[in-house]
Amino acid sequence: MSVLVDVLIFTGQYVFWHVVFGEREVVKGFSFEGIMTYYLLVRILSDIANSKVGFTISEAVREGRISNYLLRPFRIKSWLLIEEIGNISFNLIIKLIVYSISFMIIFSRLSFNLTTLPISIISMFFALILSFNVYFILGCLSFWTKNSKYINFAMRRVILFLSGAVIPITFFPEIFQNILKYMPFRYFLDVPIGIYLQSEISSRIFYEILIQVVWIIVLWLLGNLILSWSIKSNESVGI
Amino acid sequence: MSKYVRLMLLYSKMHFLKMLAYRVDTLFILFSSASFIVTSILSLRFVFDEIPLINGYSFDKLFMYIIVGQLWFFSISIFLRKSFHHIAVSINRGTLDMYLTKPLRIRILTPFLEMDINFVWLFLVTMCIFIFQSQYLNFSLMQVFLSILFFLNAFLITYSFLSISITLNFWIGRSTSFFRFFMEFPDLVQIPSSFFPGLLKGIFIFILPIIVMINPSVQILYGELEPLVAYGAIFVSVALFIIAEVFWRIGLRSYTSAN
Repeated sequence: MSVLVDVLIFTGQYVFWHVVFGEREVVKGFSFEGIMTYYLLVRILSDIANSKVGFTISEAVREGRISNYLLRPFRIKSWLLIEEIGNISFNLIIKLIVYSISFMIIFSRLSFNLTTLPISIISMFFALILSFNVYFILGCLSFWTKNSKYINFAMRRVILFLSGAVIPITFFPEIFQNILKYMPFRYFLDVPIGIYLQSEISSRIFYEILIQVVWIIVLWLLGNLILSWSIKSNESVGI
Repeated sequence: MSKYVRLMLLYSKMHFLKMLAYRVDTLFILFSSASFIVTSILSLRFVFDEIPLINGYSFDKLFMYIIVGQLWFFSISIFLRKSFHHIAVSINRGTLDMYLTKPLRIRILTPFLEMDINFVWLFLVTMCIFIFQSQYLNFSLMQVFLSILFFLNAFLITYSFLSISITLNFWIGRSTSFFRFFMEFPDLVQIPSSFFPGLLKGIFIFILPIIVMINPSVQILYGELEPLVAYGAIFVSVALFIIAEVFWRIGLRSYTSAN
């Protein structure tokens, strides 16, 4: 069903952008093939920008199961990250194989670039950790609100928009783009996909990856701080 | 009829009280859906900053498609989403006879079993935006009446479609993934029918009725109703309703109660 939904949404995007491009060759630096490849990668990588860790923490807090994580001989955050990577990796491989083949057959107008692929894979991995950190902080809110399911839903849509899942960030007005430079969200999708779509490796790519790493360190530390602060208000079953 | 109304009010009150258990989170439901509308409209605005007209459509016109699409989404979120999920769970747990043994018609009661009151506010706000935006249009009362009828028709199509999907639970068990299917629909139903090429248009009218959801309601307000879309909407609605009814009756024969 999930694959069918993605095919349908991709079809909708194809129809819309086909009309938008009309007779035009390029819109905002994107060719039609470029933008369809962008949306294909958004669909494949959407799990990366959509970390489930916020929901996991929210449910565990609401049901009083969070102590199950706290009593394990691992740090809760590391455990959840490993769990997340395990879950996403499997989905990602399946999606990559199924979608690439099916979309290639259906639409046959996608651009492929092997030069920047290895670096974009590294950037995608960093994006996964970055997204995990942001949603982990959101999940910690449930220690106070006792349920942050809809807080996560609400933020998810905003984060997806700011990460370029709805429309590439180059379409945003200049002022928005400048503000987004100082936020971590564009590093979830727009940057990894942007790296893949570039024709050659440049120093700009390494600069973007460096910023990603800096954001990971900052948010990881911030997450630890918020966790240690919020966990004091935790009430659990059986402890 | 009064017993149905009393039950509807009771269910709404119960649901409202249940949601109040987590007040802060409940507030974010409004923010969640509002963020969906805002980001959709902003995305469209950003595209229109580059291109003045898309296939002859202005920003205001496509904005109307988004607003009516959201009204459709909120109405199914209020009446159908949770209610049908509840029916699916009841079938799987074998507790559907709680309704079947009562002197009520479950098919009529379904939309009111688990009404999602949170979306009522969003529906009303979106309706206000719709009314504000409509002042720039020049339409007759008859057009408004027909537009509402087509909107109700879209609701009926969705009801029948969901009904067919949950009926599958009688045989295969735990078939609830179609909800995600419908939650992703707003992006698709908002696309004008004229954007779709020939074959795809036929598929999305008669096989997967996406085009017939809100297109007729908006097109009639602009006086541009496509006959294929209008007749398609009516045909699909009637056909799906009959199929859903027959399918449900056949499905009930395979129902196994827990007690």
